[in-house]
Amino acid sequence: MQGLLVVIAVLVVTFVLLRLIPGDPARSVAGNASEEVVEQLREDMGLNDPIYVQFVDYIKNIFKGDLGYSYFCKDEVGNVIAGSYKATLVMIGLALPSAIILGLLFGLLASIFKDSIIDRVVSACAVLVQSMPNYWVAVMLIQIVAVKLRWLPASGFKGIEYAILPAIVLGLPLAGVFARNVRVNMLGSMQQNFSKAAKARGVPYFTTLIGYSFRNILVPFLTLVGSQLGFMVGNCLVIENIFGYPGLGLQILNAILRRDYYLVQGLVVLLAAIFIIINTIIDISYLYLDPRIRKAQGGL
Amino acid sequence: MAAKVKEASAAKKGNWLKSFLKFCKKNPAFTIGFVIMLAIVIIAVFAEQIAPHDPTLNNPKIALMKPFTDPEYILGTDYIGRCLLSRMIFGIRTSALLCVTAVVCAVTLGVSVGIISGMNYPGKTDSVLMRVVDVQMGFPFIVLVIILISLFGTTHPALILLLALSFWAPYARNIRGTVMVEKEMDYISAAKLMGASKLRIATRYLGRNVLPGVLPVVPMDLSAAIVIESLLAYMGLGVQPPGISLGNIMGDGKNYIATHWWITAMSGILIVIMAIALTLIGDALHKHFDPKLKD
Repeated sequence: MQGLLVVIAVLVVTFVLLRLIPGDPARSVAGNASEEVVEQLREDMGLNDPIYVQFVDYIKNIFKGDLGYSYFCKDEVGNVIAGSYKATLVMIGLALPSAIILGLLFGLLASIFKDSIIDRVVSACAVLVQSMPNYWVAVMLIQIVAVKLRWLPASGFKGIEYAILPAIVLGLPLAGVFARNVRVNMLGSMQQNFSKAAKARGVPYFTTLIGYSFRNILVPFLTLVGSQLGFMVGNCLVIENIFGYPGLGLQILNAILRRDYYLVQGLVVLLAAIFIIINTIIDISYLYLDPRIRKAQGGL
Repeated sequence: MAAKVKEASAAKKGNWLKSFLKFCKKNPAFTIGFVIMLAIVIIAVFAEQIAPHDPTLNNPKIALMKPFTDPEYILGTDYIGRCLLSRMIFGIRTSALLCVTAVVCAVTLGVSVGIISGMNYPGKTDSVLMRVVDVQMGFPFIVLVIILISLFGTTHPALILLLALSFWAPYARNIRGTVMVEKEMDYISAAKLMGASKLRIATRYLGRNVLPGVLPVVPMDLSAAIVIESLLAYMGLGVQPPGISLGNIMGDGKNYIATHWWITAMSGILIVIMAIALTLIGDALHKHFDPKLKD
């Protein structure tokens, strides 16, 4: 319920802000057409109605499943989104799981071998990948891997190999963030009484590590993954722009720059909704991961 | 009397410096980060004196010179023959000015909202403020940035505003959580009994106690701000020429990257160095202020 309110608020803010941007969208669609044509277009686009009428109409149509019409793409907004979500999904589908696996693996290694050379190398690499500006990494990778070595394509999207470079740029800093978080939380968790108690009871080392210490960092880890989603959206936009990768991020950027109202609104609503749905799923999964929270909530 | 007070304050200052040096000695990573940032600040302040050339002076005859070939232009020149070292020094100044101001604004706003919200919990003011925070955090940040830039242009105040907007919300939420716990403590009740005003409680009592909690985040946000600022300039949405930003230099180099990659590479490495230094500082502060992380 609260989530729905946030989506609506985000929509209202977008709606108003977009209409404050100077420039006439009808004129920019029509180009050099005559004033009558532009006036007709304005009428068609509903731009002559007062802003609250436009908003009410828009909300009504959303509930009918109609996100409006993009005059630039000459297609329904729903279709435009359907045409571009796949590329973004492939990129995130490659980047996020790899980042989680790498982050967990190296974070665990660093915490188990605390203060060893492994820990130092992992920590240093994590800081390094986190500190590199993603657009700069993208430009450098295109130059080295795609142009000089010709191992992977530099731009476009015609198959999964096109998603590898963007996914690396998206996933690397995430892996760094995850590894650092896992390391710090594991070190804290291994110090806690339940881990010490397990050790004192003679529970095998590995079981203590995974079943006790590691299990207790899953909730904060998941919270972190959820909180990184917002950053991922922004990063997608930047990365897709640099790679010329035809996904949702590129659509948003172009749509805002062209003042394609309905497309921007549709995409923003979609993103805010996804953001909230995923965070709700994460909240629910706490119940499965942590019996203490389960108990506090009155059972599952 | 006056001399005595002066002496006492000097002793206090000495103590402060001493404990700072002790902290540096204990945290070599912090010291490295701190020294780098100190150098960056000095470069930013004394850009005119340090830069070997006028960063806007072009000389097409020596365009696209390789770095480390001419002692006159140590880092080479860009596509119209401007000294890259000088441009990077002035780029640091722009980045530092914009990002420090923006983060200071974000912290001020976030901490104020957080304290007000926390002191009024549970209540209407708190609910309204927290919903605003929710919306700000749920809004796809970069979309907001592009819309605001289309609205206000790319003037320095506009850039500071949008950078500040992108960082304040987590501070507010964080501080509110601490204030909610802290305001139930005895010293706050004591202050209330002694007749301290709300403003005094907020600033003298709560403010002092909640600020250390967010201090470690400040360097992290500063580094994120530097990256975002340079990104905007790179995409042509930030500082506009003739203004110089590290992002601008990379953006200029973009067209020549196939043959003259170092223009883009060097400015990027400079940003990486700043970001790493700030991360090291943030980590050390985090460890210092979070008792759970102490070994």
